[in-house]
Amino acid sequence: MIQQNENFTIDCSSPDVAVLAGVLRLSSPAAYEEWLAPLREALTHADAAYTIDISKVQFLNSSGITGLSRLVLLARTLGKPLVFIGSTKTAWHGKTLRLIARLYKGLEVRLQ
Amino acid sequence: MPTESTYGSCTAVLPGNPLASVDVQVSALDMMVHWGRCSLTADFLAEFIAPSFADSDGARVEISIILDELIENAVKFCASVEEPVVVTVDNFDSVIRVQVSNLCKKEHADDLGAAISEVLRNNPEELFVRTVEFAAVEDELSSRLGFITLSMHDAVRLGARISKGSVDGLHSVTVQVVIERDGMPALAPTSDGAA
Repeated sequence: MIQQNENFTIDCSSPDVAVLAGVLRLSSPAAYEEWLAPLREALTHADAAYTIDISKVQFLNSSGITGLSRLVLLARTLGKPLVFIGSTKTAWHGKTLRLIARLYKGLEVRLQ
Repeated sequence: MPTESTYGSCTAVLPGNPLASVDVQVSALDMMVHWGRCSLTADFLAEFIAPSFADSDGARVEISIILDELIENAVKFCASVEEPVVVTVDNFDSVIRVQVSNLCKKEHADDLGAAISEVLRNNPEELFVRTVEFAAVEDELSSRLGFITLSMHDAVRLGARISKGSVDGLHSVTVQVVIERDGMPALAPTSDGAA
């Protein structure tokens, strides 16, 4: 499943990888819930580790960080390994992903 | 009679006069109807100020992130959609100052003061974990991470000024972020030293 609007794309067409790209600046955590629902579904049903690739996300506001953090809490509840992929070229990726990683020991951050 | 409370970086005096300044006044109603204009305003101001820095792309992103968080917050908690939100960016020699001002109700001003105080008192990483865990259970609709994520950067100093009852019983609030240029690589000056 691929969702998109004029600012961003969320590609969940692979069963164990979600790829987010663009500018994600929705108005509240609730506004992210619907867009991130396919990720929750895929994460819940993934056979092994689930990967979320944000390496092509240019901007993510604090409501979006909350949305991703809630996915991390879901993975923690399910005991499912989770991988976040970010880019070394975008300064906030490393900072934000290291912060999110504090929520779950089963989360691996890869910066490439 | 209005009383003023100041927090964090708003209690400090900045050196000299700004070398460059830009400010815009936007309508909260317009921003709420067209939410994308929050980021458009942040991007515009960041784009305006970014050529002063060697890594103008990096500077544009860093400044836009800060502006967007502050503008979104001001728009959400503006007392009335008819009230303006005022956004100012000042480029001093050694620091960049970003300020966003709006009028809000007493309960929102009290919440803002408490939130800023909490961020200033605590380790931001520990506060981040506590806030996410709490929000997941107790507070589904709000984020409360904006000030925390801004304060994660060593070069960023957060502050606020709240004037109680200053206009028609409403409270005037200004949230300020001061960025130390030495602490943020993207904000190094251009090779000719121009600010």
